[in-house]
Amino acid sequence: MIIPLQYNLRYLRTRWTGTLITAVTFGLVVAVFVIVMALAQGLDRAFVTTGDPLNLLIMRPGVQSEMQSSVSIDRYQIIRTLKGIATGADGEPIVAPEVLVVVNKPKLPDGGKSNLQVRGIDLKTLELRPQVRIVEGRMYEPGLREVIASRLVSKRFQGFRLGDTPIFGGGTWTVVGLFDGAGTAYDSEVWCDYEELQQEFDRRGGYSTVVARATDPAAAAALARTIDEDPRLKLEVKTEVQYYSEQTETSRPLKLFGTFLATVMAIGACFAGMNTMYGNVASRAKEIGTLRVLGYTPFSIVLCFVFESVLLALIGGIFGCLVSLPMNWVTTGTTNFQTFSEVVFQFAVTPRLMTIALGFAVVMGVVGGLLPAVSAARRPIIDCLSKV
Amino acid sequence: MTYHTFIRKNALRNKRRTALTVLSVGFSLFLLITLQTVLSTLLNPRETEESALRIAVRHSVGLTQMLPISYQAKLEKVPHVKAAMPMQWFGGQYIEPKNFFANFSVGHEQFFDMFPEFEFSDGAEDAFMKERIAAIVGDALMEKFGWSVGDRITLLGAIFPVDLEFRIVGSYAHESNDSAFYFRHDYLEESMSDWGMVGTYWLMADSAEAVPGIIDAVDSQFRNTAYETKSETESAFQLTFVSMLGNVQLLIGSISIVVVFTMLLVAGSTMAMTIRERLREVAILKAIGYPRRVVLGLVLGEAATVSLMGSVVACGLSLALASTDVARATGGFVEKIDPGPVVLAAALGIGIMIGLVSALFPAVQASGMSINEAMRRLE
Repeated sequence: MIIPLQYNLRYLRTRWTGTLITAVTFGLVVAVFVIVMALAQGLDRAFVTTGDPLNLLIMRPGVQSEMQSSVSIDRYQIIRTLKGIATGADGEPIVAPEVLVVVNKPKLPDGGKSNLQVRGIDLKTLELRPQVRIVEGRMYEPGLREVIASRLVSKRFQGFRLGDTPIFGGGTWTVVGLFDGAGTAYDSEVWCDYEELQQEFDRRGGYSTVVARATDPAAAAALARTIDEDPRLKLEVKTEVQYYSEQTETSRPLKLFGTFLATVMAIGACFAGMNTMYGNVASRAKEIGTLRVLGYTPFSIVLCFVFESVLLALIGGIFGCLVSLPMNWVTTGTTNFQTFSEVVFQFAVTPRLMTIALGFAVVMGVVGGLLPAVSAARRPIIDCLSKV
Repeated sequence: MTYHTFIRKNALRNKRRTALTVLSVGFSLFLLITLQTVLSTLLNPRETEESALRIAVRHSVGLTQMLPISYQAKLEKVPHVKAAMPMQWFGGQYIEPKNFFANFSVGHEQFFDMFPEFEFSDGAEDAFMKERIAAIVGDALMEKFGWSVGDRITLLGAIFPVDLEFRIVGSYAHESNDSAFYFRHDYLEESMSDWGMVGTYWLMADSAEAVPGIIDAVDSQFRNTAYETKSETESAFQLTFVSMLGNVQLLIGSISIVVVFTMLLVAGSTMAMTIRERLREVAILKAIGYPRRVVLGLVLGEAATVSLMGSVVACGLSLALASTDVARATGGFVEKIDPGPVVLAAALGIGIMIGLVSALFPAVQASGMSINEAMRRLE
């Protein structure tokens, strides 16, 4: 027979100060865990959602990032002739050269400088990356030294609002549009025409990478093989998905940090929870004795108190999740050390993360409650009842 | 019985509860020590006699922009500069990306003067001067990959489109920075078909007083040229990397506050529980004539004793962590977590404070209670 849930609920309510303190302790542990992991997840999400499995990123072999890559113009011409590449609205193959540079720009609000990634694109790039939408202003026009900036960049860096005229590579540019990259890595970038960027940064010899869109997954695999094997090209191919999942390495130290934090804090909280539960059990010796006399088995007593402890931890866990939810709207940035440029991203408190956090709270509850519950169940009935 | 014995006996009366509180406070405080140690290591790069003399010169735009190799002769002529050494982050991979370690090309003629704190193995200097493909490797790195002097190894270029083969001609020992790989810049220069550029220059000043003057002289000399420079001391140069990580200070700072708050909650609720059970004793103490402040002191003393024991546990855990190989677990992100005596002493202080603050409210309440009331409040 199982002791009714009501019993625990009523007790927790009567002893509300104790309940509150213990639940808040568990809650803070959960909140710290959720916030640090949301930071790591937000960073990952910026990379993971960026790639498209049909987009092939063609780079110089052995490089760690597109920033370090270079592809000559004649190789780009060869790639354009390969089979399996999708055709755009204009009847031309969807292949776009890209030029990447990093510029050092003052950040808002304090003016500390950070590296900003500028991507020189072809208008075809928009067909390759449909996630990117212009939300204010218009698209740049090639030849007019115009750029479009991500909305997050315009908020995080000085001089990238609509109509501003940032200077880089010696030239003065005009911001004519702001785009939304839907949480992808492009949200950390400024885009402009690749040929202009080549001129400004003296990169006339070639491009950084070439991106090609395959017609379907089978064609993507075949195309990748063709490029790998073509002796004229000597280039390396990755799907964008592959490439960006490699970049998630950036969040590894953060995840490690979050796990370490959560573990150590959880150990501390479990001891505290145990203390509360031992206290709760000790002050209810008479009640436990009575329950036993009524015929409840020792097992149902254990179950009852473990359950109470889990309940406490869950209240804490829900509190922790609620406290960390507002972080979802916070934007922050770090440096991707593979490209040496700033990645701007938002914390991501996802439902999955919250589920993990609640599971984590339940584990803390069980660990904290098991020993006190067992000690309660093992006490002889006479002892319980004779206690003042 | 003295007050001390009284406090000690009371603190140890419910052994299980005391142990749990000590452990709970101990683990939280251990976390606090670790966080603060990591933060201070990141924010205060250790300045030594040698590092105070070194100046890093890079392109004003950033580390991804290069400076011409012709600057070396110009930098050497700046007054008070003892040596100017080109240094380039090669970023080469050993077999596969996960075997990450720092590898740099350096000017071989200045290398040994630039890092006088390194203890080089016998014959390393001569061999490095003579052999173009020579490499000198830190002891920790030698051990990690099981290399020995004379081995030939290849690093695959990731930033540079060349794979380079090296012969290890010597090793060096240093207490904290002994996992880097150095090779000759002229070798990289030649492999890149006379590239003519380099990422940074390191200058050695003849005295610490001359450093600010050199920084001004260098930056003004190249102002308004195609390659403007940004010069800074070694520690300032290291700090730019930390600032790139993002707002580490805010993150660690706010987590530390949460941790302290959690400890207060835990210690406070335990003390409240303890005092509630002992109201009768408080009443008796008062009845036999102990004044209010003694009762208060006894309760506060007990709380401080318990949390002090927690601090001792925390210090023990921190010292244990200091002796483990943190560098390996974090992939070299954090080299070492060694709190040092100041942080440990601070932790002991914080521990006592937490005990006192947490017990203050229940203690004042109990000591202020009238004898009658306390007696009646018993179950």
